[in-house]
Amino acid sequence: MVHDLPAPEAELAERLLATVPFEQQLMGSRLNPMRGSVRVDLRTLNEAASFMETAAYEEIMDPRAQANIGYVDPLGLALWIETVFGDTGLADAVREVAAGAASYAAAVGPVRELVLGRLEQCEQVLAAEGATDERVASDAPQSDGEAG
Amino acid sequence: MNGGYTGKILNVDLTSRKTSIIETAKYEDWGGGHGIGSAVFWDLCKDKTVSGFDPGNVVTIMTSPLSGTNAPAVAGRTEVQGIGVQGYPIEWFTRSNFGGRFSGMLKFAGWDGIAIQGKADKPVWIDMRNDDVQIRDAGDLWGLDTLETQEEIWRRVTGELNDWWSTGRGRDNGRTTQRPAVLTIGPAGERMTRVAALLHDAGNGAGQGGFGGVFGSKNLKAISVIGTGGVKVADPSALMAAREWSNKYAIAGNWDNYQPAPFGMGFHSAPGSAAAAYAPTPPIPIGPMGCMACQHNCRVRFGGGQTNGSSCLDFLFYMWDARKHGGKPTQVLQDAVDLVQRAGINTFEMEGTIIWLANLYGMGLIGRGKKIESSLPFDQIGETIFAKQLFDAIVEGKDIGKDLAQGSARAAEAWGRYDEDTASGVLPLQAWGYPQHYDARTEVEWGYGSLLGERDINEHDFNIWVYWVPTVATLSGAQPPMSAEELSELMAKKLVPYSDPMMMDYSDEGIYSESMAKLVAWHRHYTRFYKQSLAYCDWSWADFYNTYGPDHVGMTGEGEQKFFNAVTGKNITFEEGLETGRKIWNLDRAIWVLQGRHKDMEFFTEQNYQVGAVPGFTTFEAPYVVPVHENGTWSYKNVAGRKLDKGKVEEWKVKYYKLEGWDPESGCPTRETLEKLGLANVADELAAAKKLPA
Repeated sequence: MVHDLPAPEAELAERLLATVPFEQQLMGSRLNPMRGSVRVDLRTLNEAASFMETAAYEEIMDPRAQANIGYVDPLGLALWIETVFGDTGLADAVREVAAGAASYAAAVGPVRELVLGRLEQCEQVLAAEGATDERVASDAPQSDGEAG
Repeated sequence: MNGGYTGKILNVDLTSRKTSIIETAKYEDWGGGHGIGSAVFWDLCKDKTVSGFDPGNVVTIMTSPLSGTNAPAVAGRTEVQGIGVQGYPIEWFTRSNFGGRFSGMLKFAGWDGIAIQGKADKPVWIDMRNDDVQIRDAGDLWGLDTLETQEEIWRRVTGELNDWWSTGRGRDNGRTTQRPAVLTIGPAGERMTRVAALLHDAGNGAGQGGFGGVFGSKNLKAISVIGTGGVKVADPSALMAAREWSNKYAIAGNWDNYQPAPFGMGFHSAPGSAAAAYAPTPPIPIGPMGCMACQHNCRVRFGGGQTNGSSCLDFLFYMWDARKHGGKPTQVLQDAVDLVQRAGINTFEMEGTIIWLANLYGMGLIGRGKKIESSLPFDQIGETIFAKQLFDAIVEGKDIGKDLAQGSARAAEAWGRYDEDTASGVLPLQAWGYPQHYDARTEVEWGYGSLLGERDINEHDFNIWVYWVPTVATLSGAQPPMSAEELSELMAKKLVPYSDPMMMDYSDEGIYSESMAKLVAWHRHYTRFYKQSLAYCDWSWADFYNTYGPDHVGMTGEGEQKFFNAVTGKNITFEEGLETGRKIWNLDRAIWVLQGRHKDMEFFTEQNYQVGAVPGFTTFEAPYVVPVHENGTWSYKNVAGRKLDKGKVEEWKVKYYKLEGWDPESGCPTRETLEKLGLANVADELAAAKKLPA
């Protein structure tokens, strides 16, 4: 699905890879056996996507499996992406996946893949940008001293 | 023949260093544990408004009549009570408890419990060997951590017991191969912090209430007990039959049909399963361990020798380790748990504290050169170095540890942040200065119980079935083992005398209903008697739904009194036990009223009314799927995002007060209610203090 999204501009790509201020963080929750939900603060898109996880009901119920639920509300994630990072395309794509998933478990994989794919796009964009910068730098005139 | 009770409670006055005996018979009607503890406290503590640190405070350490028997998931638990020092803004009379074998050993030594008052002029420990009780100098134990203290006392007592063995007396006249059971404080207790726990053996802790600091204030380092007697059982055949009957509900009777129980909790769960969740990566060998006579032994010993017997919050308070290391616990967690247990610090308090500190750090408010000056390495939260420096700071009273030793609520007040941070949830306190455990806005029976009491209730009776199972099933796209309607029907059968299926309605309307008042009342009465007085373990009881039970119906309503009657020779019904629970609950309430409790101060922290965890990204949103009855239909529904309506909570409190026979204006039990419960003397003392409603 990420392939449907046009590559971001360099400026957007940098924002999507950045760490946001504490006040703009996304809050997830880790559902722990015996404890309840524990707030988890997420400050990068990579952290948020990586944090999302779940497992089969039977595995989660069996502590020996050490299966976790890392919960991030998919619609909250979409709102975060749109409001804080300014990526409307990615936000809409996350909403589309969430709307089509029968459960959180069904949404986790596709949403994570979508977001991590987007971040990969960003890195490619910035790498290309860096290469361009390097080319521009190599084409630039030599310093006065050396030219002299 | 009556059984279960030894007939005597040790009364220790540390000021005079004199001991005496309280006859248990006077208190037997209270059942045991908490009931007897509250009644003894009432009689011995002359001024119930003193600070928990005052020598006049009375601490009771009580067993159950089932302690030391082979009744399952009950025989090893000990109840601790007294004026605690953790409660905020008032140091409420409170309780804690711990597992292991201390209560059984007390019974074997011939004691139903201990009452401690006064203050020693220098550090002491109490050495109990059957009837012989000595108050010994603890100058050379002061400063040792909780494990070192126990090891040193074991050496001292067993060394002398070797001499005792050499007297040649027979096995039944004074020989034992057991080590003494020791209850001790660590350095955090010696420093009289409000976050100090009592520790016994490995991993058995009484954390909430700050009783470690109370022991420290009395200059009491430890209590050691070793006994060579037994527990009289009124009807041994009935007890054995009951144990065999209960095996049908346990894995012991179902080896060929093993099924994992939710989160390793419940009577039906498998040995070691609960604590296995915290095994480190890379893995090390583990083996199950448990309390005396337990049928499922939920805890574990790790091959590395650290954290043995620890469980639940002992680990969860530092799951930041897992966040830093790929989602799974590591050796860091083993190290942090070992450090906190040795220092004798309350892990539950640490969990809320570390969340708060991380938030303050994220907000740029704490650290070097920040508004709250601190040199702790906040960027290392999740690593051993942060845990060690934090605990050291608390124990040594340095850096921010000086304030945190007073508990997070008082530290927040000292830093001028209490109102703002508890309203936003940055400091996750629910009520009375205790960190939130389960959410009052969603799982209201937990929140209401804590609010009407004095601490986080920490009673999981309903929690698994109204929250965990439906929530995990919903998130993972599975069917829960019971529909919401089936759950309401099961609970209606179990929750006598109310038998109201609407008690399971956690909808926006249901949480303010008369039925919810009944649920909370049932829970308060059940736990006060069966779990805190008879000492049935929270990890096994109540047994509503049981994987192995007929039609998956558990033992509650039949099992609890079956063991009690077999051991004591009494013949109570389940409902009579609940009524004793009501009586205990009212006595506790009367003590709180004397301490200053009033309807007008029973409020949750503001976040419960102001922050609804609405879908978004700047609020803490946790899925919370609970049973609801809406438009005539039962279903499970995610109620995350809900906030409490303050006005409706106030109306609900009045419904609850009326149900309990308490004055709707003050929340104080009326004379009529107290006299009906046989507590006319309590009404008289309230009247003398001008606290009894007109």
